[in-house]
Amino acid sequence: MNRFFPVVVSFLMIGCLGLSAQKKQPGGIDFVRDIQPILEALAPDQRSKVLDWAENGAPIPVIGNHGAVVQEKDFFQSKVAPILAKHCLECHDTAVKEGALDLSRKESAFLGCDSGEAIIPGNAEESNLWESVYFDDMPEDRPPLSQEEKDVLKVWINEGADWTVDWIDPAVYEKESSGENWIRRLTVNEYIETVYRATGVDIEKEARELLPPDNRADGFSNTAYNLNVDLGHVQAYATLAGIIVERMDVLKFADGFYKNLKFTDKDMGALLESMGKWLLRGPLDKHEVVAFRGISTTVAGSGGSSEEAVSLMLEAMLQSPRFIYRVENQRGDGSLSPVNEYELASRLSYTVWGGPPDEALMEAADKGELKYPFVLRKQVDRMLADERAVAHSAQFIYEWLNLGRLDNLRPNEDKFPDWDAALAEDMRAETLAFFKEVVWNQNRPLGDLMNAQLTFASPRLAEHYGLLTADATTVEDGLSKYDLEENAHRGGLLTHGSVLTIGGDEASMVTRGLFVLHDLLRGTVKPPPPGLDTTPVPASPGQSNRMVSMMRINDNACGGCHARFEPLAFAFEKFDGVGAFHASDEHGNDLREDGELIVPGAPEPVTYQTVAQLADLLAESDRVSKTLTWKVAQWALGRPLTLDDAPFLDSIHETAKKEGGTYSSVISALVMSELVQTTRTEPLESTLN
Amino acid sequence: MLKGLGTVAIGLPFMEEMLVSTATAVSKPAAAAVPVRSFNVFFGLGVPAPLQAEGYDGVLEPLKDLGDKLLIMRNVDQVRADGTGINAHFDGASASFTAEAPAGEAKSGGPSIDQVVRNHYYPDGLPSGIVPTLAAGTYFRRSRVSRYVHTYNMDGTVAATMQERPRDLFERVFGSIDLPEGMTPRDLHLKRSVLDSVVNQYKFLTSQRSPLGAQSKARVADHLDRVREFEQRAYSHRDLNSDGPVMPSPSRIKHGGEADPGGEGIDMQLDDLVREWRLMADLYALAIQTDKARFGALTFLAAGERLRMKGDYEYNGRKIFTFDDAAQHNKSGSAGCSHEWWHKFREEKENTELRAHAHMKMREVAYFLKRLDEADCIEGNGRSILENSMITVSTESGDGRHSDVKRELSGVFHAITGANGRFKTGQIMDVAAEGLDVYNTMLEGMDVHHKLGPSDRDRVFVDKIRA
Repeated sequence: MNRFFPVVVSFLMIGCLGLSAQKKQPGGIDFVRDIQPILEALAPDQRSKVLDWAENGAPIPVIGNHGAVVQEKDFFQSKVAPILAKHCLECHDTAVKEGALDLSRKESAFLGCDSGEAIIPGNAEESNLWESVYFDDMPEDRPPLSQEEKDVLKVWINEGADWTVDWIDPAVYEKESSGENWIRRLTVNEYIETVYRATGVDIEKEARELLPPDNRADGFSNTAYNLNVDLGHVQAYATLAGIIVERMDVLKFADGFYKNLKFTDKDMGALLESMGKWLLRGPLDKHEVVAFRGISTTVAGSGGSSEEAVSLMLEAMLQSPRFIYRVENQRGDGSLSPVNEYELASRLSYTVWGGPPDEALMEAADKGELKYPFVLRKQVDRMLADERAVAHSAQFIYEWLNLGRLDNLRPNEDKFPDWDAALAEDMRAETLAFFKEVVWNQNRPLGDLMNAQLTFASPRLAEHYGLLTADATTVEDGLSKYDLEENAHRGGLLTHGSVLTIGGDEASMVTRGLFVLHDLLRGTVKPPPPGLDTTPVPASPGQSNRMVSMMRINDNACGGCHARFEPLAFAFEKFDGVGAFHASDEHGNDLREDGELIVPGAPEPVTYQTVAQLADLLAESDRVSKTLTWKVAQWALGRPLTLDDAPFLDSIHETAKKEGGTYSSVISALVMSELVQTTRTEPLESTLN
Repeated sequence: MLKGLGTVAIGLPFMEEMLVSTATAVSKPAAAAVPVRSFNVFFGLGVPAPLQAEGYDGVLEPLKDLGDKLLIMRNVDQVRADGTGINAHFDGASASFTAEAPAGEAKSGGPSIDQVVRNHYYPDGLPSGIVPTLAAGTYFRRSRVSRYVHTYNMDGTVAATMQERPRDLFERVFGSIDLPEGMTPRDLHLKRSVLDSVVNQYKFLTSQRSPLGAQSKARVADHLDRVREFEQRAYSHRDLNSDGPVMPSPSRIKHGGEADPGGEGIDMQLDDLVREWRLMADLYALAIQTDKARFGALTFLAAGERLRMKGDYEYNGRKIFTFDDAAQHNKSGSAGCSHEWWHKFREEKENTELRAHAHMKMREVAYFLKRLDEADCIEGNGRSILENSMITVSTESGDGRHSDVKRELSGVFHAITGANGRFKTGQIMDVAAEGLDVYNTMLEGMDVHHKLGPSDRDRVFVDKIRA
């Protein structure tokens, strides 16, 4: 698809903002010259939808960055696939294919199974699928389908069993959209950055001390629905506002916005409008100006100075919901609607920098330029070249891998007598430095995090890992850079102590395998069926961790699921609970590193012999790359991703891949997508509660 | 009650607030002097159903003294809360007081019953001076919020921040806002104007003209409540605290991230834990007695808690057991924690260690409940706070075969108080009902007609629990 297609879409969207495309041409873009050829490159149905919208006011077509018009989800996608994903694919997917039935793909589903044809279009009564769920024979050992779910399957089969997706990815159907749209409170990190950029005051020490910490939910601590407020927050915001203003030269600060400071309505109003727009990241409404103006009149009435008035108004702004939250318009007709220029500026800056828009972004918003994709893209490129983007990206890896956990790592002293608590901090530093090197200094694809043959270690960590000091080439912040090309077993993120320690003291195959499955492959598993003893069995003389794992895999009751994720951890058996490498365990059992990689949806597992081979397979895997796109997107959007997001994420991933699959390319594609440029509105009546 | 706080010196504080609160409480005319209250008391790891059947002769013995003021409910089924993932601790804990599966790591599928009652009786907020929802407790495992938080808003989000140290709880309930020394009335007046402008902005965002959608408005409304509370504490009651309790000593046990080193568990001396629990219980009970709290939850350990306990456990001068989990398991790390006794529960065996742990937790739950039943807790209708409040005690798991999700979430221990004569007490009852139906019956008993559970599911009342 033409690389200018995003321009077309957003350009045409000018119309929905009440502007004429012909009258408001940005930066030399000519409709006939630049847009018409692209329209002609569209498929006829896409072109007609766009033109119908532009010419006749038809509903706005939602169009991805690659020109794929995102259709309304059909009956199969919206109703049938979620049922199959929820109830059937645990046993009847490509990997397990119990009874020779694979219901994850059209061709295999219609091939039938050991007991006959699973789906006979037009005839539910004769279809094994419907019959088995109707009589609650399936799913085995799981709750039966509800009557409503059974009815859906029956209707679908009787009406022809139209199958409209290539592959049912269970991860996509894991979360259905709740329709909720939560306002985003600034996280502690965002608050600190916002204060610094807006006022020049570094409030980090006090903010970390006074503000309650943000708790993790769904893998990240910036998940909007969980960013609650308590009395402690309100008290902290008030105290911090006072400290911030005390540290400011308020008259000099105010002078940057308005030079003729007096108590008159005209002067104070002008100051408030200008200063407020900067601090609150968008123009003030009249009622807001009135509210802040009330402070200055109170000061005036009590004989105070203009400096005192400005100080108190600043304190109020720093406690305003417009400062503490990212307030956006969420009201409309229930559809996806474009955010306004200032909202987009904030979305852009918090996504790339984790902080507020700078002057250039605000100026672009003032001029109404951010709606133009080429302007937006230019801004994104500028921002990604800024050191703030690097610092902010470190928060992603910190959050994704829960590196804060290392503060509390206390391995059993009897099992690990040589453990030095400072190693935990070194492990975190290693991962952060590695991420910065791969993602920024070398600008490599995110997938290379899996197998980049380098790392950073303190002398203490190098000794723990068994790295040779002579390999060190660069020293920075107490860390030496190690080239691992010749290192047989260490290399890539998964061999970092920060990741290996998730397995606990016993180096759990289950926990490590589930990490790879969930966090790299976006795989899903269900809970164990009833009646199983899930007590972990530790290694013992004659029985290594892997042998225990194989017992679970070979067990009829456990193997269906454990075979999906434990082999993913086989590569790491030689790494103990604190990430040190050994050829044998404490019981004298020889350890191995060969195993199988089972990528969800792939027809066959791929074998590997070494941890390095697994790292290479993961690095090359599109599934891993796409999972990283999902992770970055979830973190940037501050909410769990749902079925509704999947088409957009597909498009973002493809765009990013074409641009190298780097962190920057993912962020760029995300910002240019509907997920950042639009918001899900709520119908007016539902907001009047 | 006030004498028991150990390190906390107690006066009888806040009489003015108590009078104001009582006068403005919205409750049934017949109980005008008694505010409507609802609290959830949660304890981790549960009591296996076979042990519940032993009544007060087994691990429930510590509740015996309160028997005439409690309805012990057996065979309460929470299986509908079984969610995705292999963690019935999380599912069961989320279902406590909500009867819903989790809707996210920090979100329940529905509100907890205390919040439904609060929303019904105080739709415009609680009277001034009362903490809207008081969530507190002692817990260590914190990987998911629902393990230890047991009060949820109507939208399923956490209703209040957990106060996990005695000092945190003290500050949340009895703390005042320290304004800078030397502030003049003029300074206060000006600071007040700042707060007024902030309040105005929050009010606008919760008004009909707000640009926000429903969830966001609810969040901002919650923030506005906190701002008003701040305002009240900072500017309205600065002279009332002179006789209030003093700050308790710092906690002696681990809290925050260091309390949960990657799920591996921590070592815990019984005496240290009990000291902390009792201080929390004293403070929470005092908050209720002084009418600073009417709704919320108190937690005694998280769901799936991992502690390696040590120490002699006695009850009424009788040695019950010597805890030494790691040595008794002959394991270290997570495998050496008391949690594992639940994994090892077998009905046909003695289960000595599990019994001792469960008995000990019942003793501490009873300690808290008794705090609300002392002589100075008798209210205008002649009943104690314990008798007048709707207090629900529950846990995460039922059947002791801990690895069996289905059975684990059936038979979950429940006990409730009479709620001012609304529910039967003095019985151990085999209710044989879903938690959802029990909770809906409790709400109905409180004259709250909100229905918990799926919209297309009819309410089923368990009438036998009503007085």
